Amino acid sequence: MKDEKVILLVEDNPDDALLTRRAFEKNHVTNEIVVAHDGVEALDYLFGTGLHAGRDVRMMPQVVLLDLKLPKLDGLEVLRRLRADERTKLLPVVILTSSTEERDLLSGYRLGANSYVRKPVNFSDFAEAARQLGLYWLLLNQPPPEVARG
Amino acid sequence: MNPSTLVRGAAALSFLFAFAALAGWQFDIAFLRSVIPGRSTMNPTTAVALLLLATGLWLARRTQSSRWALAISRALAACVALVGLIALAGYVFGSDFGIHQLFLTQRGGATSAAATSRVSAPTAFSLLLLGAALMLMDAPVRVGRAVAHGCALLAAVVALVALTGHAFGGSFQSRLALLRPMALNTAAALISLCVGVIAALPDYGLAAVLRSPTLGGALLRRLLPAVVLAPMVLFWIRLQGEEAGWYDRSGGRAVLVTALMVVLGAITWRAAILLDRSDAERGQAETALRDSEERYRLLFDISPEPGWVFDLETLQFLAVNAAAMGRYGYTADEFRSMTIRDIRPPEEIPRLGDRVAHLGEHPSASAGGLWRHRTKDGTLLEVEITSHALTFQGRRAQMVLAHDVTERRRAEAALRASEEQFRTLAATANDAIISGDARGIITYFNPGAERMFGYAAGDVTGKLLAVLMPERFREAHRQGMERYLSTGVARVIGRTVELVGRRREGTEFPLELSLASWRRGEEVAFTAVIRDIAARKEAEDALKLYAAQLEAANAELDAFSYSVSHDLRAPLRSIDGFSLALLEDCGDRLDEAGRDHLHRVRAAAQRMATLIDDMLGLSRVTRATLRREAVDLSGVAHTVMTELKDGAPHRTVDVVIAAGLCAEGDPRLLRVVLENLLGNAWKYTGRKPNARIEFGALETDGTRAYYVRDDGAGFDMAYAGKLFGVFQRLHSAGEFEGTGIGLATVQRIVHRHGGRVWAEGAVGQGATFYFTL
Repeated sequence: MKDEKVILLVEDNPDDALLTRRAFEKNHVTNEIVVAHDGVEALDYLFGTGLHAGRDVRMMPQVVLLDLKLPKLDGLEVLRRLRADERTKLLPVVILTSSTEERDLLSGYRLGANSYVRKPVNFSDFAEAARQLGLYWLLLNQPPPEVARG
Repeated sequence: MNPSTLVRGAAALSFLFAFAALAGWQFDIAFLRSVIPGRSTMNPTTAVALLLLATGLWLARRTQSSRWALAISRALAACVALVGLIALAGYVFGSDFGIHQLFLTQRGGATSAAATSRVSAPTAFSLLLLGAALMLMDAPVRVGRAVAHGCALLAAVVALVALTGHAFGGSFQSRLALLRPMALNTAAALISLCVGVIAALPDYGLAAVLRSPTLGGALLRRLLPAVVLAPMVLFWIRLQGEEAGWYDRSGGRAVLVTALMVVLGAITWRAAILLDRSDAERGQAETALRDSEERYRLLFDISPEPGWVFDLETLQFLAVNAAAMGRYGYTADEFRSMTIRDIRPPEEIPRLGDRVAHLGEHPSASAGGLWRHRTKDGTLLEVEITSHALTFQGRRAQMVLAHDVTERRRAEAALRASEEQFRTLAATANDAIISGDARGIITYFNPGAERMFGYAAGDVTGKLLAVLMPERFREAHRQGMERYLSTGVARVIGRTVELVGRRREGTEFPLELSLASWRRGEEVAFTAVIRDIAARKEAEDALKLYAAQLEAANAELDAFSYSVSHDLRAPLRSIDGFSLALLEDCGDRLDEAGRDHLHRVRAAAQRMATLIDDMLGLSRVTRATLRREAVDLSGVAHTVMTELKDGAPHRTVDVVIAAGLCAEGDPRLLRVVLENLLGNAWKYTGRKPNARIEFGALETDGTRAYYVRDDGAGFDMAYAGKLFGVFQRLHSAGEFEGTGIGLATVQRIVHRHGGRVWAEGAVGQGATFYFTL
């Protein structure tokens, strides 16, 4: 597992954030996990504004794990803005949510999410899901070339 | 001339003569006594008698003759008759009862004349006759009048003899004292009285004939003067001729006789001519009458309308045409033996009586009317009668044509009944029915309309339809009418539209209007049936409101359950996650019990998550819109079983799925049903090594029911009622896991499809779940 690949976790629930981090650790995913606690913070990080002003925006995370239910800016809205901006248009986004609503699924894909994973309540299942996510998105999946991300 | 006037005139004349004679005796004027000096004089007794007779005659024929006048007149007449009788008796018995001198007074130089003055026999006779005549002329019996008339005529003849005698200068010497001549004035007075008496009986005898308008009367009037005057004239001619020496006495007689023959012949010839002419006229009249009768008869006989002639007095049929015989069913002979009463039903007879009486009084009236007749076989007809009076075979009769209007009347009655029916329909209908004409004027406004708009029909007929609608629509209405009338294109005709009406007090209300148009000859008319839909509108609005509220509620529920599911799960995740973390990180520091607690915590969290999912699923089922499609139930069953098998490959289960089972319903929801039922079957056969699960269909009560059968744990039928309750379970969680929502969900789905669901089972022997759609 390469270190410089960053995972952006957009999650407002601190418990869930902790559990997610724990799940990745348990499965030996040691990449840096940046947590954004709401949609605005997520966008700030990605575009180097606000809270994260001054960040080098050329350094994009490998994957964004996006929860849908966020305060301030909704997860789907974040996704829309991401896809609207050239810099983040091709950024891999995995929607990680507890919602089983069909319309969320539909909206997510429509807005350009790359994947949709349901957060199980059972932690063991959750840990397994995290392992698989990490395996896939960090190792297996070929990210878009740096030129496009530039 | 009024006969009474003649009578009184005659009486007056006679009175004058008599009075003059008396004056002559009184004042010794010879002229008045005898008119022609040297001739015989009117005896004073005679004069008085004549006075009495004249007075009596006058009294008998005054304009207002009363009984006492008649009585007096008769008394006077009786006196005079007595006088005459006495005088005559004097002549017969040779003695002189002094009657002649009765009224003579002794005056100077008249004594000689007085001495010789007597009531002559003819005079006496005449007085007797006239007295009798005057007494008898008003007798109630016909014989009396006959006698009076005869007496007057006889007296007139006697006087006439004397008068003619005086005319031809004779003093009329005769050996018979009885025939001693009467004076000229006496004769004149007597004749006058005779004329008076005859005229006093204007409808009898001579007077009647003279006055009669018939041919006889005309003849007498023309000839009588000639008959009276011709002999006198001719005789006078004879005398003059003899005195002039034209011919001697025998020649004179010859001339007279010849002349008389000629004159009489001429008179007779003239009479014959008159008779002939009259005859010819009568003949013509009769021919004309016959022709007219013939014409009538022809028209009558060939008329297609029944007709007959009946006698106005006996009411019997005199003639009848072929049409009548055919229509009424009687033969001609039968008709002729019947009266017009016989063709009428009993109830018409009184009216018939009135009509006949009326016709009797007004013989020339043409009558008509509507009557009911009865034919031979008892059928009742209604006929329209036209009839005219005529003379038929010399009798007063009435000709009648009867036009059978039974059918027409029946049609009219039916039409009236039908009209009545429709009128009643319109009048009693709850909806408003309004008719208008091409100008937009209201022609009919039924009671329903009166109630709806608040106008009385009388107020609003004749006004424009526009008065019933609010101002802002009137222009559109007018244009619409014009367009329809000119082009025949209708937007509103024949359809039902919603409009706004305006009540009398000005309030507006929504209404539903159906408009029809129809042509009556040249005219176009409209009829609208209107329903006040204010109530319906309110209900509709309320319904819309409820629907909207329901929508809103549903949406809220949607949003609620969406957020709820998310927000409820998050803490559960934390509980479970950190419990595991505890176990993993600190598990070695915990004892068995501690670890067990944490396991239970985790299980509980898990359970809650499942519950939330199930509840969400249940509410989604209720809210989702139902799609209706053909669903292959067999295919879905297969898919579900495959999934179940994949989830537990170690189990051996005999699965029988009937092929080709299709139903109409929502595919997702029906899949949920089968997932639940088959899932249950799978679950409850978990303990059995070789289980059997069936899915099929059967007919029950005429409908198809689908079933899922298993031979697993089954259930106690006593608790069957609880099966489908939410969170109701018949097994504990230790026996079989589950939330108790599955069957509730199935029930909800099946109910939404309009079906029903039920179950049978026995403990340890399996269960069968049925559902219909």
